[in-house]
Amino acid sequence: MSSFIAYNTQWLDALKVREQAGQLHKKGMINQEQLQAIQAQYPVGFYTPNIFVRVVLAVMCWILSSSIFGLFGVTILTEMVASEEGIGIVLLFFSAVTLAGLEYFIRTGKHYQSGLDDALLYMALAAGITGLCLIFSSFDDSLTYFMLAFPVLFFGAIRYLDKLVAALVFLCLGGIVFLGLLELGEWVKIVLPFIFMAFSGAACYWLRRNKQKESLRFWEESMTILEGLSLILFYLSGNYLVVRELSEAWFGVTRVPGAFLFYLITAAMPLVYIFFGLRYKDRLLLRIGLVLVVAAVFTFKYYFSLGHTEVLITLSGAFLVVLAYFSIQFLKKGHPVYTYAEDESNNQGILNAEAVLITQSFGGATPLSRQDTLYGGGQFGGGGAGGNY
Amino acid sequence: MNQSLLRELAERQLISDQQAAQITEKERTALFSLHWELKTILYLGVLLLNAGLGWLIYLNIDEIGHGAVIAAIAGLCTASFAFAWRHREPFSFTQTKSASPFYDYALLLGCLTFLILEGYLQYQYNLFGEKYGLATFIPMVLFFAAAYFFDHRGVLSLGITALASWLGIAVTPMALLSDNDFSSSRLIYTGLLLGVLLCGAAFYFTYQDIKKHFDFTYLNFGVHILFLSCLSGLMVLEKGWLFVPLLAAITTLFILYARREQSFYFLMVAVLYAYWGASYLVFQLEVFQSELIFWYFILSCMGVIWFLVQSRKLLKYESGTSSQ
Repeated sequence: MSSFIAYNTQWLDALKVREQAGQLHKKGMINQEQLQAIQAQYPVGFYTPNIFVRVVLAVMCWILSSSIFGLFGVTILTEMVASEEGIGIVLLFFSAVTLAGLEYFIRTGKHYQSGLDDALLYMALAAGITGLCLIFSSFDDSLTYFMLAFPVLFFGAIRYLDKLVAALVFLCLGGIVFLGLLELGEWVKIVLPFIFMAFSGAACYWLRRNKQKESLRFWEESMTILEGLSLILFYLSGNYLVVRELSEAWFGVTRVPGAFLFYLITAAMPLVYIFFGLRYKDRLLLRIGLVLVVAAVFTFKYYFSLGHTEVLITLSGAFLVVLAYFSIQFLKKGHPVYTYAEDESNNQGILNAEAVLITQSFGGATPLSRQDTLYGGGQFGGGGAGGNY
Repeated sequence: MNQSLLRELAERQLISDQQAAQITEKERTALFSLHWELKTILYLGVLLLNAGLGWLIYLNIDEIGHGAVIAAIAGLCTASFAFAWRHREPFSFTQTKSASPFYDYALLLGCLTFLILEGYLQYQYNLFGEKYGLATFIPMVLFFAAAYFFDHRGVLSLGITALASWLGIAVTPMALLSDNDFSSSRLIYTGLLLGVLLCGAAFYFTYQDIKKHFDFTYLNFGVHILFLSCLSGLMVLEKGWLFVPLLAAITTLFILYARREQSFYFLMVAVLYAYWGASYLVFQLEVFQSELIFWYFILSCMGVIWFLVQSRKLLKYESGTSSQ
């Protein structure tokens, strides 16, 4: 299966070795000479620029391709774009050309996650899927569109190892399951949450079993993304707010049978995630659990609100501070499994990002000195109160 | 760490068998760090607590009374600074490592409550009267002093924001574009001045070896203010074309800086702003208000892409290495 990958797999392997060796070096377990020896033994020829370059290259590539497409649109193809099928065919052609460009850059330019290959891939897939849907637009059926998109996305995720496309494959599959089940009849509506829990649960189980497999190593990161998505989907399928509001929006059902069960899932599942995340030292599970606690609180607040949001905010803020404080104090005394010490990694980037974050959330608190709004309607930004004094 | 990989490295004599065993052992017994999780929770808690308390006070101001509220805010502010003072590291011109995880937050809280206190006093008792300049000057001095004394990049950012407010410009990343009226020439020239000042500060302090790690904060504010002021001048002012040489000069300067510091971030910033300015100039030409604009985009984007791909030579690109 790895021969299907567009990139040089030997380099992909070497990249992983270098990455791990770099970590070992940072932790001081191998010395500089060894690191250099490893890097010499595992050469990587990819062009993978810094993230900033990557973003700018992607944007430039997008403008460039759109301009080419626009130029064709206003000059040569005005006749063809008269019908939907015509536009569809043009888009498919555009997709094929973009894909050819992508292959060219990967093969000759050795681009790997350079921004150019990302942008070209997304454009090729988007144009391809839109083109297909337009050609088959006479069906006028969402399920058909999802079915058309699936193989295209699957191809993109497998051949180009793209994580975003992998996520779209998962969502597309979820859409197919959903729409396909609805065709089966009325009774599906009641068991839909359970079917989705089964679907995401099965996906998660399979991913966890196969993620470490040697033969699937190139897709490991993609599979981790999917694992995260399936964990979130599993929770959301059982979350009372989601079940209830979607039942009402889609099927006009206002009373959810077995509400208690859904309340239980809503409250307990995040804690279960956190527990197992800590138990098995699984950061993904832990972090998703922590985020889902917010979803759980929001759900209960939505249905059992006492009308005092300010009290809830204050109390939960106080609770979080106390929780963090005592956890940190507890860990600082020394624990055989967990620690508050940072992982040995370069955190300069995080500190700078933190500074930007602080300015964004608190910086607005400094009032402007020469504007009429001064103090008058004084809004004290995100750091202060939400209202005006 | 992958076991098969370790074996491979050991077989190729790149690491010794003993090392491989050591690494495996260390991996097995490694502690699971909850650092960022707990820190995020703490940060979120402080935010919520702050917002909730503010809201509570706002709702109940009649019963509490202004005096009590002011006293409470002042108390919190003093306590935060006292905490930071007690846990401070000895002053140094280089980066210090904060001993307590709450140190950074306490200092930040102190600065923020100071702002709230000041605003409150002004709103309720009109403390500063019409002397608005003074109202931003005091926090500015305080924040800069605190940033240097306690070695805190976040507070430095607040200080720069206060400095800009004092000069009359809003500089939080989002507000930079939305809240500023760049059409006034006074603001544009103030912006240029501030940008030069901040960039100058970054270069000077780095050169003097005073808090070198602050340079990114200074320069990051400086570069955006400088470029945005310059572009606004180009687009808004009557003799905007006079800004073309300035734009070219700043762009060159920052590309050279990026090259020296191996910083992709500043390279990108310079290239993007320069491209923005160049595109604006091209749009002004009447010839280009036609299909030719597509050709402009096609050719210019190709040019930028080519330049960026070449930049790996400019920045002595090496696979796997990266900087800001």
